[in-house]
Amino acid sequence: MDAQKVDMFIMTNGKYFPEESLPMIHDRLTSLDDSKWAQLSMLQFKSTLTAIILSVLVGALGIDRFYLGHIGLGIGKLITCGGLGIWTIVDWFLIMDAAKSENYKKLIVTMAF
Amino acid sequence: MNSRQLYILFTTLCIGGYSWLFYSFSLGQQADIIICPSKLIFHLSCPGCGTTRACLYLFQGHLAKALLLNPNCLIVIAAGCILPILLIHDFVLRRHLLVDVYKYIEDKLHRPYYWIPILIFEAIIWIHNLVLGI
Repeated sequence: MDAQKVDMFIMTNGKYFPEESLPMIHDRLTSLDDSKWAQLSMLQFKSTLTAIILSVLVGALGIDRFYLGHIGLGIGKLITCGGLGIWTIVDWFLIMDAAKSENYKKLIVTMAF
Repeated sequence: MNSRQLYILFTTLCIGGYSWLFYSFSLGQQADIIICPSKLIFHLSCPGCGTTRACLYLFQGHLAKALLLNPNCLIVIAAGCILPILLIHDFVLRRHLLVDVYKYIEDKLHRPYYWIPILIFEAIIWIHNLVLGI
């Protein structure tokens, strides 16, 4: 793929991925076929800001986990009062990384197919 | 969520859940401490409120009382029985059965005909808890 497009993609969407994976994403995008560009530019990523806001406000109900697509964990959190409150607090610190890691997985799957 | 984080999360939940349950069981009733973040912050019950009391009723053999208070106690007790077995199995045999089970359940729950009835069921419990002030 064109270096300019790769840089533009990284600049626009870099905040959605784990920092340590950015060089790898850059390399994989560079070696990717140009025909994938339209598909990649249309991808919608989970916002880390939304995830943390949901986690702080309604984390006890598991809404943050539902937002990330972890339905099983969301239901688990919902029926246990947010894991006796402990899981809710732990998720305040984990949810942003979880969102980034979900976005990374989504990008890798899109690039693979 | 990677498998290491999953094992840490489930181990913490099992230890925390069992400690809380044994503490409540030793008192013979739920402790006076409020642990529900929803109740602490918004003063509103959540669908999980009443589960400890329902579990205690279940241990005393009052199934009807337990189900009327919070039917989620059955799911919590089933998970509380299965999770430690899976954790010990994986720890001893160095397998990843828990991760496989988690992925299987997560995959099933992504289908609307599984998650929609569960969420409706939880919404009913929530309304029940809010109306009765559990």
